[in-house]
Amino acid sequence: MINHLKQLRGQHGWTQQDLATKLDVSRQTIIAIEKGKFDPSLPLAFKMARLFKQPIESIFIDGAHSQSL
Amino acid sequence: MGRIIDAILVKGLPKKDIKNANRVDLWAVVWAVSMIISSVLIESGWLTNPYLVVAASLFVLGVGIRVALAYKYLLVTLDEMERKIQYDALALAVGVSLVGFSGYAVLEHAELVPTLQSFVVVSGLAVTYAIGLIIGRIRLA
Repeated sequence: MINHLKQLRGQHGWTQQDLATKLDVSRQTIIAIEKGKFDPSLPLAFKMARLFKQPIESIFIDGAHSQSL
Repeated sequence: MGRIIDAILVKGLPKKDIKNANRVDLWAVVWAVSMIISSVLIESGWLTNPYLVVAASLFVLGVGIRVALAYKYLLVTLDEMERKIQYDALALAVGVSLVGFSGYAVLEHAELVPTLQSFVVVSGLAVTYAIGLIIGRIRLA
Protein backbone atom coordinates (compact mmCIF):
# COMPACT_ATOMS: atom_id res chain seq x y z
CA MET A 1 0.00 0.00 0.00
CA ILE A 2 1.30 3.44 -0.99
CA ASN A 3 0.64 6.39 1.33
CA HIS A 4 1.20 10.13 1.51
CA LEU A 5 1.68 10.24 5.26
CA LYS A 6 5.21 11.68 5.11
CA GLN A 7 4.13 14.54 2.82
CA LEU A 8 1.05 15.31 4.94
CA ARG A 9 3.11 15.27 8.11
CA GLY A 10 5.67 17.59 6.46
CA GLN A 11 2.90 20.00 5.39
CA HIS A 12 1.81 20.30 9.02
CA GLY A 13 5.39 20.68 10.24
CA TRP A 14 5.08 17.72 12.58
CA THR A 15 7.88 15.36 13.54
CA GLN A 16 7.31 11.61 13.52
CA GLN A 17 7.12 11.75 17.33
CA ASP A 18 4.49 14.55 17.16
CA LEU A 19 2.32 12.46 14.85
CA ALA A 20 2.87 9.33 16.95
CA THR A 21 1.72 11.20 20.08
CA LYS A 22 -1.37 12.61 18.30
CA LEU A 23 -2.32 9.12 17.08
CA ASP A 24 -1.34 7.35 20.34
CA VAL A 25 1.05 4.95 18.62
CA SER A 26 4.81 4.49 18.76
CA ARG A 27 7.25 6.46 16.60
CA GLN A 28 8.35 3.10 15.16
CA THR A 29 4.82 2.54 13.88
CA ILE A 30 4.84 5.91 12.09
CA ILE A 31 8.27 5.13 10.57
CA ALA A 32 7.08 1.68 9.38
CA ILE A 33 3.86 3.13 7.87
CA GLU A 34 5.77 5.91 6.08
CA LYS A 35 8.22 3.37 4.67
CA GLY A 36 5.29 1.19 3.52
CA LYS A 37 6.48 -1.72 5.69
CA PHE A 38 3.34 -1.77 7.83
CA ASP A 39 -0.27 -1.14 6.84
CA PRO A 40 -2.30 0.50 9.62
CA SER A 41 -5.59 -0.92 10.86
CA LEU A 42 -8.83 0.64 9.63
CA PRO A 43 -9.45 2.49 12.96
CA LEU A 44 -5.93 4.00 12.82
CA ALA A 45 -6.38 4.95 9.15
CA PHE A 46 -9.66 6.70 10.04
CA LYS A 47 -7.91 8.47 12.92
CA MET A 48 -5.26 9.73 10.46
CA ALA A 49 -7.95 10.85 8.03
CA ARG A 50 -9.70 12.83 10.77
CA LEU A 51 -6.41 14.34 11.93
CA PHE A 52 -5.42 15.49 8.44
CA LYS A 53 -9.05 16.31 7.49
CA GLN A 54 -8.68 14.22 4.32
CA PRO A 55 -10.53 11.17 3.00
CA ILE A 56 -8.74 7.86 3.64
CA GLU A 57 -8.35 7.17 -0.08
CA SER A 58 -6.35 10.36 -0.56
CA ILE A 59 -3.87 9.27 2.15
CA PHE A 60 -3.66 5.57 1.28
CA ILE A 61 -3.58 4.17 -2.24
CA ASP A 62 -3.95 0.48 -2.95
CA GLY A 63 -0.73 -0.38 -4.80
CA ALA A 64 -2.19 -3.44 -6.56
CA HIS A 65 -5.25 -1.46 -7.71
CA SER A 66 -3.22 1.51 -9.00
CA GLN A 67 -0.96 -0.87 -10.97
CA SER A 68 -3.96 -2.57 -12.61
CA LEU A 69 -5.40 0.75 -13.83
CA MET B 1 24.29 -4.80 15.95
CA GLY B 2 22.70 -1.43 16.76
CA ARG B 3 19.43 -2.55 15.17
CA ILE B 4 19.40 -5.70 17.30
CA ILE B 5 19.99 -3.67 20.49
CA ASP B 6 17.22 -1.22 19.47
CA ALA B 7 14.93 -4.21 18.83
CA ILE B 8 15.66 -5.63 22.29
CA LEU B 9 15.21 -2.28 24.07
CA VAL B 10 11.94 -1.47 22.19
CA LYS B 11 12.63 2.25 21.97
CA GLY B 12 9.76 4.69 21.47
CA LEU B 13 6.81 2.72 22.84
CA PRO B 14 4.01 4.85 24.34
CA LYS B 15 4.25 5.22 28.14
CA LYS B 16 1.08 3.20 28.78
CA ASP B 17 2.56 0.24 26.86
CA ILE B 18 5.81 0.43 28.84
CA LYS B 19 3.80 0.55 32.08
CA ASN B 20 1.71 -2.47 31.05
CA ALA B 21 4.81 -4.38 29.90
CA ASN B 22 6.51 -3.66 33.25
CA ARG B 23 3.41 -5.03 35.00
CA VAL B 24 3.71 -8.28 32.99
CA ASP B 25 7.43 -8.48 33.82
CA LEU B 26 6.74 -7.94 37.52
CA TRP B 27 4.09 -10.68 37.65
CA ALA B 28 6.37 -13.00 35.64
CA VAL B 29 9.16 -12.47 38.20
CA VAL B 30 6.74 -13.18 41.09
CA TRP B 31 5.58 -16.32 39.25
CA ALA B 32 9.14 -17.55 38.63
CA VAL B 33 10.21 -16.84 42.23
CA SER B 34 7.11 -18.56 43.67
CA MET B 35 7.78 -21.59 41.44
CA ILE B 36 11.46 -21.76 42.48
CA ILE B 37 10.62 -21.40 46.19
CA SER B 38 7.90 -24.10 45.97
CA SER B 39 10.25 -26.49 44.15
CA VAL B 40 13.12 -25.90 46.59
CA LEU B 41 10.84 -26.38 49.60
CA ILE B 42 9.46 -29.64 48.18
CA GLU B 43 12.85 -31.01 47.10
CA SER B 44 14.53 -30.14 50.39
CA GLY B 45 11.77 -31.91 52.34
CA TRP B 46 10.50 -28.80 54.15
CA LEU B 47 7.14 -28.97 52.42
CA THR B 48 5.82 -32.49 53.03
CA ASN B 49 2.23 -31.88 54.12
CA PRO B 50 0.06 -32.67 51.04
CA TYR B 51 -2.35 -29.83 51.88
CA LEU B 52 0.52 -27.34 51.94
CA VAL B 53 1.89 -28.74 48.66
CA VAL B 54 -1.55 -28.30 47.05
CA ALA B 55 -1.79 -24.77 48.54
CA ALA B 56 1.65 -23.88 47.16
CA SER B 57 0.71 -25.31 43.75
CA LEU B 58 -2.54 -23.31 43.74
CA PHE B 59 -0.60 -20.16 44.67
CA VAL B 60 1.84 -20.71 41.76
CA LEU B 61 -1.11 -21.44 39.45
CA GLY B 62 -2.90 -18.28 40.62
CA VAL B 63 0.14 -16.11 39.99
CA GLY B 64 0.58 -17.81 36.59
CA ILE B 65 -3.01 -16.94 35.67
CA ARG B 66 -2.31 -13.33 36.77
CA VAL B 67 0.71 -13.26 34.39
CA ALA B 68 -1.48 -14.51 31.53
CA LEU B 69 -4.19 -11.89 32.28
CA ALA B 70 -1.60 -9.09 32.50
CA TYR B 71 -0.12 -10.22 29.17
CA LYS B 72 -3.58 -10.37 27.58
CA TYR B 73 -4.28 -6.81 28.78
CA LEU B 74 -0.90 -5.71 27.37
CA LEU B 75 -1.72 -7.25 23.98
CA VAL B 76 -5.19 -5.69 23.82
CA THR B 77 -3.97 -2.18 24.66
CA LEU B 78 -0.61 -2.38 22.84
CA ASP B 79 0.52 -0.20 19.95
CA GLU B 80 -0.85 -2.01 16.88
CA MET B 81 2.45 -2.67 15.11
CA GLU B 82 4.01 -4.00 18.29
CA ARG B 83 0.89 -6.17 18.77
CA LYS B 84 1.42 -7.67 15.30
CA ILE B 85 5.07 -8.34 16.18
CA GLN B 86 3.96 -10.05 19.41
CA TYR B 87 1.38 -12.23 17.61
CA ASP B 88 3.92 -13.21 14.93
CA ALA B 89 6.48 -14.10 17.62
CA LEU B 90 3.90 -16.17 19.50
CA ALA B 91 2.94 -17.99 16.29
CA LEU B 92 6.62 -18.68 15.57
CA ALA B 93 7.22 -19.96 19.12
CA VAL B 94 4.19 -22.27 19.07
CA GLY B 95 4.94 -23.51 15.53
CA VAL B 96 8.64 -24.20 16.15
CA SER B 97 7.85 -25.86 19.49
CA LEU B 98 5.15 -28.10 18.00
CA VAL B 99 7.28 -29.19 15.06
CA GLY B 100 10.52 -29.42 17.05
CA PHE B 101 9.19 -31.30 20.03
CA SER B 102 6.95 -33.64 18.04
CA GLY B 103 10.06 -34.54 15.99
CA TYR B 104 11.95 -35.05 19.23
CA ALA B 105 9.14 -37.26 20.54
CA VAL B 106 9.61 -39.62 17.58
CA LEU B 107 13.35 -39.86 18.32
CA GLU B 108 12.57 -40.31 22.01
CA HIS B 109 10.09 -43.08 21.19
CA ALA B 110 12.84 -44.84 19.21
CA GLU B 111 15.09 -44.41 22.27
CA LEU B 112 17.65 -42.47 20.24
CA VAL B 113 17.55 -39.43 22.55
CA PRO B 114 17.06 -39.00 26.32
CA THR B 115 13.66 -38.12 27.83
CA LEU B 116 12.83 -34.46 27.33
CA GLN B 117 12.81 -32.34 30.48
CA SER B 118 9.89 -29.92 30.84
CA PHE B 119 12.23 -26.94 31.47
CA VAL B 120 13.77 -27.53 28.01
CA VAL B 121 10.31 -27.18 26.41
CA VAL B 122 9.59 -23.95 28.35
CA SER B 123 13.07 -22.56 27.61
CA GLY B 124 12.70 -23.46 23.91
CA LEU B 125 9.37 -21.63 23.75
CA ALA B 126 10.79 -18.56 25.52
CA VAL B 127 13.93 -18.36 23.37
CA THR B 128 11.98 -18.80 20.10
CA TYR B 129 9.50 -16.14 21.23
CA ALA B 130 12.34 -13.71 22.05
CA ILE B 131 14.01 -14.40 18.67
CA GLY B 132 10.64 -13.84 16.95
CA LEU B 133 10.25 -10.46 18.68
CA ILE B 134 13.74 -9.33 17.62
CA ILE B 135 13.22 -10.51 14.01
CA GLY B 136 9.82 -8.77 13.85
CA ARG B 137 11.15 -5.47 15.18
CA ILE B 138 14.14 -5.50 12.82
CA ARG B 139 11.91 -6.42 9.85
CA LEU B 140 9.50 -3.53 10.48
CA ALA B 141 12.10 -0.98 11.63
